[in-house]
Amino acid sequence: MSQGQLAALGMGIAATLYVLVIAANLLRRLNVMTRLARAGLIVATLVGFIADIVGLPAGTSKVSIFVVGNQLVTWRMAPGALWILVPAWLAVLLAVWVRREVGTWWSLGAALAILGVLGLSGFNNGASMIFGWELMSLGGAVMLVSNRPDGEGSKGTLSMIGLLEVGSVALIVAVGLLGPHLGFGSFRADWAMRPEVISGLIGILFLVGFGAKLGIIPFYSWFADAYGVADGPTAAILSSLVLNTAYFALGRALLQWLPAHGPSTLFVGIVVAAAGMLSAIVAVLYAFQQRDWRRLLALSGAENAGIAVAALGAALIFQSGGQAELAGLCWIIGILHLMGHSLAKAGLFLAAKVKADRDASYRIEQTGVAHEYPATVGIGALIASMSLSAMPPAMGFVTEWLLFEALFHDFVLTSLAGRTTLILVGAGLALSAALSLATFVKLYGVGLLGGRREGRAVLLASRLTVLVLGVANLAMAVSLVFWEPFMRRADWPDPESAKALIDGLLIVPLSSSFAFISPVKFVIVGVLFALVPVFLIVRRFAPRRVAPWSGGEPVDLAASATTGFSFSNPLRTVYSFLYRPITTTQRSYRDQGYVLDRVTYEAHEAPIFGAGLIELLRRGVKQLARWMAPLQSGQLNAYLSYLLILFVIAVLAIFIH
Amino acid sequence: MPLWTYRGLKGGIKTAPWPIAALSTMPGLPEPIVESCPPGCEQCAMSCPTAAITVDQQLTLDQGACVGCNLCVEVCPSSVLVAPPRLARAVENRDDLRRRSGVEPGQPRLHPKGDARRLRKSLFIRHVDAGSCNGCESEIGALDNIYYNLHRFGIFFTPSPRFADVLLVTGPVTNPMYEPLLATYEAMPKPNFVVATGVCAISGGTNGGGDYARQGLGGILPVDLWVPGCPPHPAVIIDALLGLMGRQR
Amino acid sequence: MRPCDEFIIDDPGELGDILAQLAADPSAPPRTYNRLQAIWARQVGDDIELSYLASAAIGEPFRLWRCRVSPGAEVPSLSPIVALAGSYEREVRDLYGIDFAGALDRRSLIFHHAKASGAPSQDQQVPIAPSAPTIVESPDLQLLRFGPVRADVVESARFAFSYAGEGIIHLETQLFYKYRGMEKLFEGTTPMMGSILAERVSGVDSVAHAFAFALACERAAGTEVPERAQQLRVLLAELERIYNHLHYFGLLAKLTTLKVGDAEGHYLEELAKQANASLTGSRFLRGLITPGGLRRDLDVSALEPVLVDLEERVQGYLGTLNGTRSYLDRIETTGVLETHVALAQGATGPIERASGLDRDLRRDHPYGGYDRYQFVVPDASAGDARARALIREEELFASFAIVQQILKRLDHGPIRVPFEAASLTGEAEGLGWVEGTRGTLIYAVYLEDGRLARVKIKEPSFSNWRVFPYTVDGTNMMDYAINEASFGLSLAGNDR
Repeated sequence: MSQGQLAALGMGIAATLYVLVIAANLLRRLNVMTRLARAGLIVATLVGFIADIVGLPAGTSKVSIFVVGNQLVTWRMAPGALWILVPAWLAVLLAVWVRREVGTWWSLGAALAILGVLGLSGFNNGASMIFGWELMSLGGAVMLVSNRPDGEGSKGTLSMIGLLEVGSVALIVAVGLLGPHLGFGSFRADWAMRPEVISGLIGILFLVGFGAKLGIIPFYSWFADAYGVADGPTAAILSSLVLNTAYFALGRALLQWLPAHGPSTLFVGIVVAAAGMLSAIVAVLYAFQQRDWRRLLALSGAENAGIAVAALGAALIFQSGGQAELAGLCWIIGILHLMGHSLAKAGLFLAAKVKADRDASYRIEQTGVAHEYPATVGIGALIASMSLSAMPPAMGFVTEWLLFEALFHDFVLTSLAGRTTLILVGAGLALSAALSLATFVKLYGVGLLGGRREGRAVLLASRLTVLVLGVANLAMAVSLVFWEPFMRRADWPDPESAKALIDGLLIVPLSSSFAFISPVKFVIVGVLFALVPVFLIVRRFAPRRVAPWSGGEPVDLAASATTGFSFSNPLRTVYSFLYRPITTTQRSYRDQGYVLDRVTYEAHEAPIFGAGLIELLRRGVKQLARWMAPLQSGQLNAYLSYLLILFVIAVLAIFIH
Repeated sequence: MPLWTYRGLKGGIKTAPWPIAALSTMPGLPEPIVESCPPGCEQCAMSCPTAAITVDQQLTLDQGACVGCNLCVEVCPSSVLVAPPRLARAVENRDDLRRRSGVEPGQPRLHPKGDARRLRKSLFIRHVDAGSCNGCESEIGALDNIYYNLHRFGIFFTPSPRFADVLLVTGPVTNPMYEPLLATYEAMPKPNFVVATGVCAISGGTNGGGDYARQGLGGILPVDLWVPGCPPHPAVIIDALLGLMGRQR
Repeated sequence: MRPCDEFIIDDPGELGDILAQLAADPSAPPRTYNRLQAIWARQVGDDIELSYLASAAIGEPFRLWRCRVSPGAEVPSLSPIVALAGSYEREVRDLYGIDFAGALDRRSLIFHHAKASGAPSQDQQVPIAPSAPTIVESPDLQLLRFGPVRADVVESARFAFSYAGEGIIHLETQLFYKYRGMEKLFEGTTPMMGSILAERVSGVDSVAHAFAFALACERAAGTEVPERAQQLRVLLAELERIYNHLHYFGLLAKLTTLKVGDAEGHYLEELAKQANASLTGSRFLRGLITPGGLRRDLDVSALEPVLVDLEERVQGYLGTLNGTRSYLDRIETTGVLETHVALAQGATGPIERASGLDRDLRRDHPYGGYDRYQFVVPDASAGDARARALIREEELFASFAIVQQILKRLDHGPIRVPFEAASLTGEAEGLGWVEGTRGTLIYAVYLEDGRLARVKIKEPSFSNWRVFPYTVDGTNMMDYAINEASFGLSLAGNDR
């Protein structure tokens, strides 16, 4: 059996196991079923992980599923999908292993979501692709709602589903516009046949469709609300596997199906790049203000997705200028970025789980979690934070550096619009990188450091996963020079023209004379530099330990600790035109207004997209519902009469046609 | 916008050259001058609000407890006690503050301790108010004005004990300030020095004793310098600090 | 004129009804004096006698209500009706163990450092009441506990700020770290020694304290002080006001980062202190005022040219200061004290005058011969730091004017009459009041067989520190230091 066939077999086994998990969940009468479901989930994910690795670098083999109409529906995962999902599988494996609560519908949701992932990335057919897309959304919603049996998470889940359905509608329209053939093979040709305007519209529709899950502006508003009701493992799955699949699907749509060198390519590329950059900036600005672990990480995920989408837009722009190598480079960068992101983000979500287990709260506050678990959570969360804020030598640094280098190649383009867009995108990404550094300094410094407070014990397994994911991120960055050449098959749109990013132990953007870095050397030199302060610590004088001094009275670390709010407050004030902050101070007195009894202080920012587009849509829908209200009279006779009318119309249509 | 800089330049240099004349012109704390008093007379001891005077074989006036009210000078029938025209200066030994009749009032020179020689060029002071009446704070605060200009000697006040060399304590150490004072002393790195400034810090003065305050730093902290006066004149404080650094003139 | 009308209350339960007339009336005209001044207690045999002192209309005697209760008795609290009574009642509770029923704030005022378990320490007489301080609820706020050892050369007290970045949401002051029990130290001493003690209750208000104490003792003994002594006492009181106000201008300039202004202000204060020293031998004017007059005569011939020169310098300095836009920007609208808060919480001195309450004991209840001098009592109504600075500025020039008037017609006569305390038998009581630098200072003195049995000191800083937090809540950190400097209060005076 070839590698590809083995991989396809493995994925098949995994898919079957997931279906069994779903079945087990539905047969809940027997108590052992839910435990079986959890075990099945872990085994299925493990099989999927192994199958994914086995399938590299050529992709899985093609599997025929069934025939619809006169078209054969096949399933095959392309190398690009396999690459982008490798670290995501690891993250999901650790997440499902760590989640110990049984008895909920969570495993059902996870299985649905992963089945949707397999479907979206593997099917060759427009309709099946959308089916997989919907399964992903449904699975995500079930996972969210299953966290709160009392229905508390419903608002966030509904907002997520609502916006994802907008994406689905956009996808359906796009696929429909592409023509009679639903098979991917003819999409490029169909697309090329369309007039320019329709062509550009299709591209935008795909952006809207897949962008709903990627959090492209204005769709990131559901991120904070939905993730804010999730728990660590749920969010880890959503932000690794599901996000990466959506990105792969968007890239496939825009790079493989969009006709190369068409005039619409440049237009779509500019819109995609600008959308990516803007969503990165706005998402990270809001992320910086969050005071809840999950919300902050969710918006940071939207930021990173925005960066990857900006890379995709750059690829389109280069492609329209005839620069196939640079286009391929940008696409690889997008894949690598989300690979690193999935590890880091999942690691931090699982660190959030550690914090929630210990302190029973997801608030970003100084309780000294990293001081209590320095070897696991301390190190793992540090590497993950460094990756997400593009600090060397983590993976996030490597991919952002590569992206900037790719953008700096804009001088090869002849189109002024293209060059200007790339320059502006570079500037915008620099801004978002700076803000993300501040955000993760806040998350690590205020969320994990500080004076130690007593909390509940946390299982070793939960803490170890944070370390594993962090180290995996670092290992990915350091080992990139060794396995990147294998990625060439994933290099769209033109794998043949792909050039290596590697030159010896250096990582280069197409050529080492332009620029180069070396994470391998960073790590070696970094360790050597770290030895210097170690030697300096061996002092001549014995230190005298004294208590901290604060005006002569004992220090109260908990009360005076920096809060998430006070850290972000300066930026909140400076950007108040964006945040529209609201602060309410309520004072209650014991007498007519002098002896103060209680003061409460609350600070909010205005909702991300309260006014504007969503509000308009909401009002439109409400108005429509009001007009249609008379139809819903609730009387059986009325409904029967509707059926009669439709029957008459159908009969007339058949006989007149 | 008025030109403050021009105004300052026009004002000229107002810093008094050191040593300041007041040290040897202003009236200081009373001292006994004759050999012996009429026998059985204890008028001065009875009139002293801080019990600074003891009449035994000889008359002893403890300048470390004397607030300079001069009630003793007023009630003395034989002019034994007189306030001399020079300010009382700091000493290293507590006993040197006790003036005895028949004993020549010397002013021992201050010798810097071994480690204090390293502080010859610069000194950082952490001041702690352990329950003073605010008079000492007023005089210590006056050290930074342009007339006394403490900075020209390289002496500065710090907000934190962590980088202070000297702990300057005023007040008799009230009960609530006892722990914070000790915590501040513990927070200072070695080598450090303690200066008891003012009569309250030396022996409680008029504010100490009673149920709510102790009687100065004796027995609480190891004191290196005792600065008498209620409150001590800023020139006396400067003289004390320079003595600590080994630069007394 | 009688200093005081006395009323005896037999039933403590009637306290609320009888004293309800002292409730602050915001519609009252600014010169109204109908206000509670102080509440104190003293041991009389086995019982405890409560005294409530209030001022009446301008020129009218003070009013004193006395009520005798047994120890541990329950007395209705006045604080729901008269807001400023709260602090006095807390102090009486701490020192005498009387419980005030219905008090809105039952925390210990003086003995906060005792163990939180509530068991009495060696200091306090009663366990700490289980009443919570203000609760500030918010996970977004930080708590800064500043003190008691504070930065710079300042007095000891603790301030707990609940703040969010720049904004102060709530300030909790914890004073009485410097409580020395001065009132108790007076007991058993002679009035002459008592004046030495009084000078050292608040070191920069030595003259005001000694003056009020001497007036109280003289009223108790019915002594009439000679003219020259009265004039010289007023001279000393105004000299003290001058150097204190100059200190606070220097401090304001320092906090608004005017380096030269800071240097010049403190230099002018130094000149004033040196003038004090060359006149009296003491930079703080100590060792002069005693019951019966002055302890020794003063040669004022050299004083006039020194003061004329000082006044000219002060005019130039304050004129430049008032033309500095950056300085004015920092003190305008900073630390606003509203009139009704000042009235209800008992603000006194320049602080109440800056908030629109036009009161000054020197003009309205003249003592020590003040009715013979012409001087301006300034008033403003903005209640901010600028208004307080303006009041101080005008008071400075009023003080210079009073001193000039005294120097022109100084009497040539004795400066002291014998105050034979030992010849006083039995009990005597006296009330002395003075408009000090910081406001109304009142001494209530009880003599027994020529020695002091009980001394009550109503200090202006005690009243004003109560008012201070009302100007801080809701303001910002950058203005805090300027606000505190503009109040210009003494912690030693507050704590005693």
